[in-house]
Amino acid sequence: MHIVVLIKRVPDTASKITIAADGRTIETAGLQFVLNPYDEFAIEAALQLKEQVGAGTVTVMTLGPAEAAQTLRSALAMGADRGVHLEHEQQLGDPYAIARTLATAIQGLAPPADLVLAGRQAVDSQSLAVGPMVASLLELPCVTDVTRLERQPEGKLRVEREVEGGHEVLLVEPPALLTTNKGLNEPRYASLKGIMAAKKKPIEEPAVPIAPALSAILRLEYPPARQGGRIVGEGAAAVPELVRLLREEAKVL
Amino acid sequence: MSNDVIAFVQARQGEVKRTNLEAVSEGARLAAGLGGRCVAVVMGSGAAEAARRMGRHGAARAIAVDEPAVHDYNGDVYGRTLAEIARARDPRAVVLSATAAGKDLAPRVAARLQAGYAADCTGVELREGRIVARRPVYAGKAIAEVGFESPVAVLSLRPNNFEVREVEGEARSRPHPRSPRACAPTSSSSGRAGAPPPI
Repeated sequence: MHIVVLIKRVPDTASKITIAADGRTIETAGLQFVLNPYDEFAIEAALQLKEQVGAGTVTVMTLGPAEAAQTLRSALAMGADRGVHLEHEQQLGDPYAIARTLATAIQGLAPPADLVLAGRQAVDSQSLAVGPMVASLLELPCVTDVTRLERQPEGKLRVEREVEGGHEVLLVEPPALLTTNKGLNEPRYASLKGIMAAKKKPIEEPAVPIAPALSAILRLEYPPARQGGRIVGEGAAAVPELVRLLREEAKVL
Repeated sequence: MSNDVIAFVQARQGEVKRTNLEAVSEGARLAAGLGGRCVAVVMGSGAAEAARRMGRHGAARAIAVDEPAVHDYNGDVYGRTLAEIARARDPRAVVLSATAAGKDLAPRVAARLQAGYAADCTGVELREGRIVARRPVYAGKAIAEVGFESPVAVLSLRPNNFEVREVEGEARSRPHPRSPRACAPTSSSSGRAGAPPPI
């Protein structure tokens, strides 16, 4: 069983974002980068499936700058077998170009992928797009936001996903693509042994053309400053006005 | 290429969530600016009935897909079906509400249409005839303005950020001509728990 996990190097969500002088990108100097948290669930799921089957390969793949090799190493340290680095000097921002490039690289893998896993979203671009886009480009069945995953004896996958107000149970026949959500598992920490072993694991750099971007960030700006609180009224009488303001002004309902 | 805008609407027993109407209203506003029309594509149970109401929110036309394969949301089925309908009309944009289903569906449609995609938009405008979307990035620590290189753009709209317009009129509604062929599911739903009725 060959499981491919798509991963991304992202700025730590706790870090302060500074818009660069070009007005379109962020300042990366001094920024702390991590493996996208949602991708950790995907890696863990892949490792668990491999352990359950008792055989197979877990390949982690990323598209990004030279520094993204470090992100691949963290995944290899968790237990993945093989890394694939599609190098591009800048982090691409267009979901289609990213998905198209990854899809081409997945098609070129030997042995072919039986299952592709990806985090539901990257915490920086938060488009929730690359997983389902790759699946559509490769004509793979796709279930997003998976919170439970079980392999059945005959090889089908029983997956659960949260939907508005409930959850769905689906059966998926590999090859397929799943995106992983919080709650699916507890990602393991890399052991010292794993970290040492990761240094010897192969990272391939196949020559895959970077697909042209179909969208571009024209400008970045800071969100409007948070406004102070406001007392709407007192007691039950204030509720209708509060609901109206939450709905119409704050737009949170 | 037409200057039309496709707005996706999900129906359940003929009912439509308000956020879908935001997509139709914004689709109509965008279409008017582009010199085209807004076509609502309504999928789900009771779609035909719901489709007739889309004119009130600015849709010039509505296409209904109502058959068992689309009665429950399935991303694979919805993605292929909506992309097929959209491709036939060669629109400038496809807009959806960024509900859980919309966020799952939009990238699938964008991939099939080879379209630039902006997710969870909080604003959409036309600048010299070109679509520009605003969307939060970096967990809301920055707002990005996104432009498109592709002939068609796919936009998912953050719920409750766009007005629902009420206008006079009725959309010319028709069932999707090849409706019974809605693409077969590649994953099968084996159960569903606790789904509430649509609001």
